[in-house]
Amino acid sequence: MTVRMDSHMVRVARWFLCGWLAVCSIAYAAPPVWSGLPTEPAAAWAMWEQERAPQLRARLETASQRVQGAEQYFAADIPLSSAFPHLADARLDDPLVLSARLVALDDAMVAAEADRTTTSPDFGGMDRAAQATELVETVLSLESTAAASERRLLLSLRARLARFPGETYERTQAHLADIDASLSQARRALSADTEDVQAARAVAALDVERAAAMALFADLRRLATVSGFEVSEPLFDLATLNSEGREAQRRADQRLDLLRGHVTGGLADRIDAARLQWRSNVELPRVRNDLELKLSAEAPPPPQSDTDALAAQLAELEERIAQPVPAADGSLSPAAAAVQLQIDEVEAQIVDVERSQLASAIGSLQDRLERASSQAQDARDSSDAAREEALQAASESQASLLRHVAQANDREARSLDRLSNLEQVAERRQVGRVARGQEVKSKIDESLEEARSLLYTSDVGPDDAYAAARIEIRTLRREALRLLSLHATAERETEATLEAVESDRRVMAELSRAPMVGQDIAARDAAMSRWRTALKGEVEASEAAEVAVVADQASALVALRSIKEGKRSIKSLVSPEQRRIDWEKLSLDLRWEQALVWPTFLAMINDQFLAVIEAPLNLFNPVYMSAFMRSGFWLFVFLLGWWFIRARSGPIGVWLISRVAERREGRGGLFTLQPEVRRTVRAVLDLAIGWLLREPLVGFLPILGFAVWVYLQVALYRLAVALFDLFVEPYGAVRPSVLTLGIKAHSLARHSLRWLAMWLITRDFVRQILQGVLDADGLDIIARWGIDAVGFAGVLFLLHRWAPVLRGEIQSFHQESRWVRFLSKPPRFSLLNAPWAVVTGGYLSLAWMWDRTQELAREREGFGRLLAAVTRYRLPTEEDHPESVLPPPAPVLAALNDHSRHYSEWVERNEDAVLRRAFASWGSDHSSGVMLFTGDPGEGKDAYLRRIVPTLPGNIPVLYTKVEQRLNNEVDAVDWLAGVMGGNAPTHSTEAFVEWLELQEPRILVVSDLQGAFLRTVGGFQGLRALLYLLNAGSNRHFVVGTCHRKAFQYLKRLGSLVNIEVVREVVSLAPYGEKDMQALVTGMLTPLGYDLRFGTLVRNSPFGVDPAIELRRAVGRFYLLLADASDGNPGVALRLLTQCLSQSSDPMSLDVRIAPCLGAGTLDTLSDDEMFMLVALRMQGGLNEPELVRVTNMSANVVRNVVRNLLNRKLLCKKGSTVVVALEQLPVVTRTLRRRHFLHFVN
Amino acid sequence: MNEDIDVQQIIQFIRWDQVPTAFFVVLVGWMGFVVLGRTLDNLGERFTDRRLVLKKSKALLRFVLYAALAILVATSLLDIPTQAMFALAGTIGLALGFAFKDLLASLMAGVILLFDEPFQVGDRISFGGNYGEVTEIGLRSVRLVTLDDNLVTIPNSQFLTDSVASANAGALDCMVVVPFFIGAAEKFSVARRIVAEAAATSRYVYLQKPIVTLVSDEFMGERFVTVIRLKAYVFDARYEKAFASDVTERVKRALADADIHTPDRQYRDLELNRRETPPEV
Repeated sequence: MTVRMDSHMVRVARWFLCGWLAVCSIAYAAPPVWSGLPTEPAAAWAMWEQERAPQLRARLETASQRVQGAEQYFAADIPLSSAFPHLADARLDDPLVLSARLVALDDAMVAAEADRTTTSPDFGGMDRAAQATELVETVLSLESTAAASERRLLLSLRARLARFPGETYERTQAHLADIDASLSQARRALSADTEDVQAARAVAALDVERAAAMALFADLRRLATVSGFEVSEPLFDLATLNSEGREAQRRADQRLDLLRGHVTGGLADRIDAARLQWRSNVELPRVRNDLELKLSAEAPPPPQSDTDALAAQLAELEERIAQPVPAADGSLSPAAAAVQLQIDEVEAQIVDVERSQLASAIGSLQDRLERASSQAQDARDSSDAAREEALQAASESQASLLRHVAQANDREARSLDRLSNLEQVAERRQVGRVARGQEVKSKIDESLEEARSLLYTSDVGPDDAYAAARIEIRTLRREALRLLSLHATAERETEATLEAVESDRRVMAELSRAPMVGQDIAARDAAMSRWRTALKGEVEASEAAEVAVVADQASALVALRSIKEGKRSIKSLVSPEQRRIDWEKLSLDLRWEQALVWPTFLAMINDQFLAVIEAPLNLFNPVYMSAFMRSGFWLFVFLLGWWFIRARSGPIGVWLISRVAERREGRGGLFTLQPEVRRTVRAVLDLAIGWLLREPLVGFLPILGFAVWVYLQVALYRLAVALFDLFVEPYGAVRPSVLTLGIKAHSLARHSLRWLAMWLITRDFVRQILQGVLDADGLDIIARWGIDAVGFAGVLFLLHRWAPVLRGEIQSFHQESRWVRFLSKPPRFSLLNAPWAVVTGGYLSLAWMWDRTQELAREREGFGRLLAAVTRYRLPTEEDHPESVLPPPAPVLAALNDHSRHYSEWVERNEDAVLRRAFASWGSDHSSGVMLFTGDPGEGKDAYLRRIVPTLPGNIPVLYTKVEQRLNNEVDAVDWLAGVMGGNAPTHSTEAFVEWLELQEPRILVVSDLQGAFLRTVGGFQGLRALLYLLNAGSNRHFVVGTCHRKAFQYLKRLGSLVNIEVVREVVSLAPYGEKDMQALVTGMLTPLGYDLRFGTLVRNSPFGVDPAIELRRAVGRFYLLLADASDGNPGVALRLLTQCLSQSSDPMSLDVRIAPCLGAGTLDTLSDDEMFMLVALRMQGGLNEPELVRVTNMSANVVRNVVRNLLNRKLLCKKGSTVVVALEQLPVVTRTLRRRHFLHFVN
Repeated sequence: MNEDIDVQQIIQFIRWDQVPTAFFVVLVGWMGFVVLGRTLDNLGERFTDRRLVLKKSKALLRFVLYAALAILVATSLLDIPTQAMFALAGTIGLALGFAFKDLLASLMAGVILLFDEPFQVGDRISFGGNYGEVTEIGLRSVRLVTLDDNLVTIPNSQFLTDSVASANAGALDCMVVVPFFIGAAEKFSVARRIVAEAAATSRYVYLQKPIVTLVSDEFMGERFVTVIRLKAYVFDARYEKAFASDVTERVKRALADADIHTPDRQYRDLELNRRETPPEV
């Protein structure tokens, strides 16, 4: 028995071994000798000495041992394991292993060559390099020699295997495995019975045989690699050929065959003879005996019915025949070969006999099996025939049952066919509908896109799209109607089906009670089951058909709705031709809609119902809920915000009112509007939240969206009413309002508003129902006409009721206006009340708006400026009254030009409190008591201080002075102030003067015209600086109040460190006069004189029939507004301008007021740059003489002289002694001009 | 595309009957622009603080008006079918683009200048060695009037690639820097105050922005000098040089009064008096 190793395992083992040998070779291969050394020579040599050189010396020793071992091996002195220890366990019988090892040797040689050719690194000396190189050379050459020896061995072994393939590892191992199998069997027998002598002998013999085989294999290797090696005589094998044991003899013959290839001469002859003898005398007779036994022996009885086992045996036999006979690698003598041939022939005959015996056994068995199966089939056929006869003899009830079943099946088939047809038709219709709908939609979208975009042009105009939509609507309507009738048919058929099914069920019940026996019962039950299935299928098919029709119908209605929506969207873009066609087809559309309104409504209800049913189910759908939560996040936020704000609408209303009241003084009464504001806030909030919520809720649940829409309409109504209640009040109600009406008018107005709001909401609601819900555009048109007619009638009725109310209002107007007189009378015919009311209402609205504008202009400054510009246009000027003007009387002129009295006699100023506060503060801490009042010339700064300062508490003496000379330096300042203070003030030094000042009695020092102390030139500020220093130094003791021109102070403020203006503790700029101030001033100045101002010439007839007294009041207000505007709020200037506006009236104690050109807002356009600079200098410093003007403007004296002359001629300047100043009445226009031309560019 | 487009085919795209109308429209548009331009200029002179805004409006208006007129004329004169337009646009556009490459570049640069606003009409700019006031930002070029009253025309496209410095950047005021030189040994604190006062008292000074004087010693012409640099703002950029002149006059006068000398004068005194050390400060 041979044991074959699994070929796959062998291959794996071989590759593993090759790999292992390769790894060993790599491990065996030395690393590059020169790599990894440091670049620094000393370090490199140290590393060489300590690491590399010992390694190389070790390698040298190893290599020399290998060389020596190889020499001894090849000299047959030592075995292979001693000479090549690394190959001791290698499978040198395997060609792959040998090849791998040879490749490893080649790689090692390449690496060695690389080391040989690599230059040694720098070791810091030539001798060291030479020493290292020599060592490396020695090692490499010795290793090369050792590798060559090994290569010789491997090549020899490979050549042997190529020549003798029978000596390969696979074959030798197979041979050994055979021995091992027999050995293990013998050992088992011996272990089973240790007294068994034969078993012991067999074990011993097999052990010896195995050792002999191993020795033979080793000798064969040696024979191949060591020349001159002589193999010993195979005595054991030769003896085994003559001993017992067929397998042992055969194995011995195989071993002798292996050896025979390597020996010649006498040993070879002995081997040939032994083998011939064994074949002739032992083997051949044996096989012939086997053949005779095989031929004579009876064929073994086959198993009873095991065809498969026999077939397996046959297959094994076939394999044995096909297996090639392993050829002998050695050589048989011709005689032995002839005997072997005979042996082979006899063995083949034995195999043929065995095969034929097996084949016949299989055949007989198959025959028996066939006979048995045919007998069984015959038995079955006969039992079937008997059964059929029995069934035929069954009762008629069974046949009847089957008939009913067949009928039910037929009906079910018809129902299914009908359902299939319906579904196919519905699908085709749906596809066609979708395709047509998309085509129409695309046309509509193109038309809309073209209308929206300037650059987009479409081949499809809106008319084409509209016509296509109309055609598609007609088609869909027909489909929908057809489907309606189909639906009715489907319902009838479903009823008929149910009746038939019910009838069958009754029959089924009867048949189930009929008696049956044996197998009929099971058949009946099966038939009953099939019958029930058929009935169920029939009902389901019928119901499904009805559902299909309904779904088709719903789809058609949905498509119809969609197309209608598209048609509506482009209705505004179509030409009148399309509208005319719509009008012509209106009656047809109405008939269609009437037919479809109920199914549409039902379909809508059904959809809403399903949506409501499904909505809670969606709550459990995580995907749906997560999408809803994401998109609905803001929905929740809005809802929360709405609830929160609505709950706090009251406090919010109060907050709004307080904000308005803060901005508008005197509006405390606004707080009475809290309820109305709260209602308005709530209505606005509801409107806003409804608008925000509608779209998201429509997407979630359409019916909810509709509910929100209704809520929106209600919110709109409530907002309108709330706003009305907020802004309009009836007479008698004590609260602020925009409009106040009589009680009757208020009630009528409220009623009208509510009626109009309800009408609008109803109109919108009806459209929503008819278009949005019932999809009935035609009905919507009719309904809208009706509602519009009702609205028109309602408006007429309301106007009829308004007419007397409005007439009563206008009758209170001034009857001088022709319009007022006309509208105050009732119309001739009561039917004209409505247009009369419209005209009257329009007139009253315009009058009201005009009044509101006037009031607004009086209250708001920005509006006031605009109104001043309009007023200049509105007020009559001198061109309107060209008659000659008498100047005002002299007392009036004297009073207006009297500057000794201050305007604060008539107009209160707020600056008093500031002065008193600063004085009190100085009084408490006696430090830094310098205060400055600034203002333009003519505002009365000095007169004001003369009036107020004496009223300060403390009885401190007051000293008034005025800076009338330039202070050029510190000395001038000291001298001047010493002169003012009086006494023997030391003036030799500033410090002495200050000390003296601090010793004086406290005084209030009023210094006017501080701008006179400096000159706007280089070095011109020394005096002012010194003066301010002195005043500040003395302010601990004395309270100083100064005045200065506003423009001069603005200039000084920007000079920074050049003039230390910060010593001034408080700067007060006198506020300009407003319209009311001007009026109070003028009235206060002139009234004590007994003169009366007449503004009648300023009044123009109001086109709105306003009361003349009101117009007069407005004219007065406008005049003073103009006066304040033209004078920049400067009372001195205003009084100068006023003198030009007054003229003696016919009444000697009356003065007519007119609009003089000086009240204009123009500018001086014809001034040169030099003149402008001159005016800037004078505007800033007040009066300057010519030398000063030369220094200040840096213009030549001639130029200055000429410019002054020009300006004097134009009356822009006037002389004041040796100085020139800007004329007081020209101050505003000069300032305006300088500001516009950007010459005067700094403000407060 | 058919390359053989003959003149006849091109002529048929022009509506000849609309030529007088187009001419009239152009004339009216041009006259309207002249009137409007003058109105804006007058308003700019009258409302000086809005002058630059009005000038900018005028430049923008010019662009818009020219573009509108061009479109109006083109749409009224030309009657090119859409397909032909697409067919011609490629070739003609390419040819015109190459021929008028620079002009188109300047045109686009002009639009970009109006919106990017590196400078505005009325600004004082320094570009390519020229310094002056921008008087016009046109379709193709920018016109600059230098202080020598030279009119410099610069193509718009150049402003896109080179840097331009604007002295006032849309504001009426602009900074003026005037250096004054005194001897290194002179009383510089007094001189500094004089310079500051001269600026503050000048009729051209803009006091809404600060006046700064900087003192430094520099070596010039083989000697040390003290340089006092005045940095002050003039209220209208057109008076820039007048301001510098005015301040210089005031300073010179004041320095003379304060007996503070210029560097050459100081060292000339030294030479004359043969002093080894400069006079004490």
